[in-house]
Amino acid sequence: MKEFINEIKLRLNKGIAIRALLLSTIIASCITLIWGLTYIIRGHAVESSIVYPAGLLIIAILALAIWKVRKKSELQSAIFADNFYHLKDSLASALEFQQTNKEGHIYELQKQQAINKIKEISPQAIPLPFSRKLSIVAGISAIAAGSLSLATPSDEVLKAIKEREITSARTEEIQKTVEKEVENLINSLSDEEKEAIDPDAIRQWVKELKKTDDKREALRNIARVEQKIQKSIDKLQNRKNEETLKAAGIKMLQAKNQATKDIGKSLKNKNFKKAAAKLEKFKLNQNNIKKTKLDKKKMAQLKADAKDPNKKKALNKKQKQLAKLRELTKRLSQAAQQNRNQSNPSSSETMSMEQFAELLEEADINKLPEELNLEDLKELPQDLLDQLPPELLNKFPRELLNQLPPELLEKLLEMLENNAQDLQENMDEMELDMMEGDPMSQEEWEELLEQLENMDMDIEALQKMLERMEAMKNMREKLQGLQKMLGQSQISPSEKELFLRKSKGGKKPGFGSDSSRRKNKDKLKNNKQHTKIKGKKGIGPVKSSVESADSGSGVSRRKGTAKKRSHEKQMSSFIDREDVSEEMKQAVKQYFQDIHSIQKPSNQKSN
Amino acid sequence: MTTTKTNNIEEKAKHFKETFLRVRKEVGKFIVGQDDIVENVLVAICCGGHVLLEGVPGLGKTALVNTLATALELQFKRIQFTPDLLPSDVVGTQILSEKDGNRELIFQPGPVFCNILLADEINRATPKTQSALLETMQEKRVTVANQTHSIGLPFFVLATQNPIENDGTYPLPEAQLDRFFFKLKVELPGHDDFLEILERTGGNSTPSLRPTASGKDIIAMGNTIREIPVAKEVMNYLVRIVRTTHPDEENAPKEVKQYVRNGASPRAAQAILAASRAKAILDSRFHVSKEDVAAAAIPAIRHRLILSFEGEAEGINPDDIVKAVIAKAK
Repeated sequence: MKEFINEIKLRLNKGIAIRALLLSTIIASCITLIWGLTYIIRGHAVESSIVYPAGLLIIAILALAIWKVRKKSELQSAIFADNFYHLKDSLASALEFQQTNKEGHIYELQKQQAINKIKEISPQAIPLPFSRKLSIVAGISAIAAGSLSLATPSDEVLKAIKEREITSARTEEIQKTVEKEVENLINSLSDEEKEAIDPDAIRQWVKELKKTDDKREALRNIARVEQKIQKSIDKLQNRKNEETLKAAGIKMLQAKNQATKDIGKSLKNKNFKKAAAKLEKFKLNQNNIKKTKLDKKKMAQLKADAKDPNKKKALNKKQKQLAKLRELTKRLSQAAQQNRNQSNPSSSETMSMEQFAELLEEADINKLPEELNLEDLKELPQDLLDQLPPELLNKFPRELLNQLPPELLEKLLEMLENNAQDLQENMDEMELDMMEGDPMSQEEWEELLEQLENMDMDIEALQKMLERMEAMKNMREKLQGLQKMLGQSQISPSEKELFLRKSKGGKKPGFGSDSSRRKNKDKLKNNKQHTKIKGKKGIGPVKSSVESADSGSGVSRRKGTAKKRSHEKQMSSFIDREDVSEEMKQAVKQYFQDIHSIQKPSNQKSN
Repeated sequence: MTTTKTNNIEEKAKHFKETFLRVRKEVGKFIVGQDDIVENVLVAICCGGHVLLEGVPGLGKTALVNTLATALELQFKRIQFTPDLLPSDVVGTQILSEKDGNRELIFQPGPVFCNILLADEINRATPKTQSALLETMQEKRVTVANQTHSIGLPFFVLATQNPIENDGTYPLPEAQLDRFFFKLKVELPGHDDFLEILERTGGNSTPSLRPTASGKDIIAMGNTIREIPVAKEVMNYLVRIVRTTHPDEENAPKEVKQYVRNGASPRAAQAILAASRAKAILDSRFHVSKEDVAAAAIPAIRHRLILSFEGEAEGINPDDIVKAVIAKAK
């Protein structure tokens, strides 16, 4: 009996398996068909290595799932056989009694009855649930799904694939090249330049240039790094101070003193490092003056010197040095003052400490000006920094002035001039006193020495600031070079690929292009820039700068000219008419002249 | 008429079947056609159940019961139910009797003290009288004046009722109906059966009947029935049928949900199970099949369904509902 039931079960499950296979084939084929069509609609070839194995997997999983869910147990098979052969639940009952270990004569009899009934029955009589329709549908859908693999990708897709491959290779190449360039750049940095920008930050930018096969993503990455470089360049931007120093430099060229002229020349050329070095000559060299007490002998000598007009020059050597220095500081201060007046006419007057204290209070900074330290100054907004009284810098320890931010250059210059002026006044007073035979006291002497020392330290602070500005300028130029290199990593319109200009290209000196190059083979080095560079809308970093509103004239000249010409034509045609009175013609002529006479001054003004 | 004392189930089954067929054959001498009715009545008797026979007058309901009583050699009594029939007329009463000069109340047993009771036109009696049968049918005993009197076994009530005449009738309460094992509908005989009836009853001679089974045989047959095993699958099927007669049941067919107010009780399931076993033995099987269950379900459930107002108003036949239930339970 058990065997019979198992045979029934096997046959039923076989049928279920066939049906499950057919059903899952239809479902998987439909899924594969839709999936494949999505490729074809987009112009791609069906990715056979993914789609068809996935289809087979779906068939296997579905068939297994259906079979698992629907497969018959022994009892179900027995019930099926009872129904199919009209056995009146003999098999199911017998099987259940057997499975539940029912013992007794009656159960034996029941089992025997069941066995007798199945003796003449063959499980093969149960038809397999093989559906011809289902098989045909499964076959057709499978063939349809399979036939999609014959479709080839469109030309556009082939191009896109090629482009992706090229992009991937190029982005990798760009990354490696830029990495190398950045390392070279970092190695070439001086200590001051390294202070201006963190080399690790630059390395971090390069890491963002990842390898990608998406052209847009690659360009976006490049543009992103470019933007970061631009931001850093902007931070290193010191244009106002540079212009101030340049203006001062131009003024210095008119000085009588050659040393001042030299510095002026350097400043004019924005060679701040050189200027800083030349400033060394302007130090008052106070270290040579020993801080010794003035003994009676020396005092007598000083008195004698003061009375002796021939030795007066020697005594006034320092005064001369100071005079030279003042020639310099005055010009520097003037330039700073002038620059400040231009940029902010309202703050042309130097603010007193009290006024500045009020400003601080208005800005919710609960500190007195005297309480501000260097860190506080770095945090102050630019408008407050512009108003900063220069004497406030005198409150700082002289050693700290070396660390003043570039924003305070003008204040430093003004302070320098003020201090130089004070020193000169002191020395003049001392000279007068000496000439009157009144020797200076020890305190006055020490005060003078301290002033001299402070003056030198102020010059040193200026030197430091100039050196820093030079470093920032250099760093800016280097970053601009890097930015330029990245900016050149763009799409070549002819080959539609990314490239990085590794060399400057062109021919060596003396071998420039000639007029016959269109006819002959171009011997220019192929740096992929000799093709016609044509921008592609929406792709590539923006190279053009946006002009600010106030930099333009506000009037389109071409349009204005055309308008004027049109008016002239109208006027002349009107004047030529005979049906119009002479008065009217004059009036119209005057009208048009008035229009353009009004426009002209406004144009000039805007220009 | 043989009485078996064997423990062999084969022998018992054989005895069951032979006795059953013998009685049916004997009844068949007088009752023409109505084979299903006769078989079901016999099945109910074997299972110890009571039968409600419903049919228009003249279809041989009373004759069937009379014939059966004769064929079974059991004490048979008949009560003709009328509206003025009192419970004491059914179960018995106490009467004053003089014995040895002393007067005492003694119990005078009613007609229920028998083996086969024909409650003819049961729906003509008042509910009070109908209810007098309740304890008798279920407990097989009678309580009068605080004294309980057992009725000898076997005891069967075969009640008849006329479905057409509604005037002066008292429909049986649900509790009473539930106590009937089967409700059998006696239908009009077919053409050939009609001819046969006329032929048999039109002459001077009437078929002579003789007892073919005793009360012991019936009790033994009842015991045999209980030995037939039922597979769980079949039992589940039976339970499904009974449960889905209730409109609250989730899997109940829409007919049940629409027309039935209350479904069959577990007593119905017991009746179906017993009847199915009997049918299995009659089919020479030692197990119950779903076909047996389905066959027993209609007569066992039809009188236990309480139709809703909508069902009553539309004249829904409970048999149709039971058939729908059977179809749904498969």
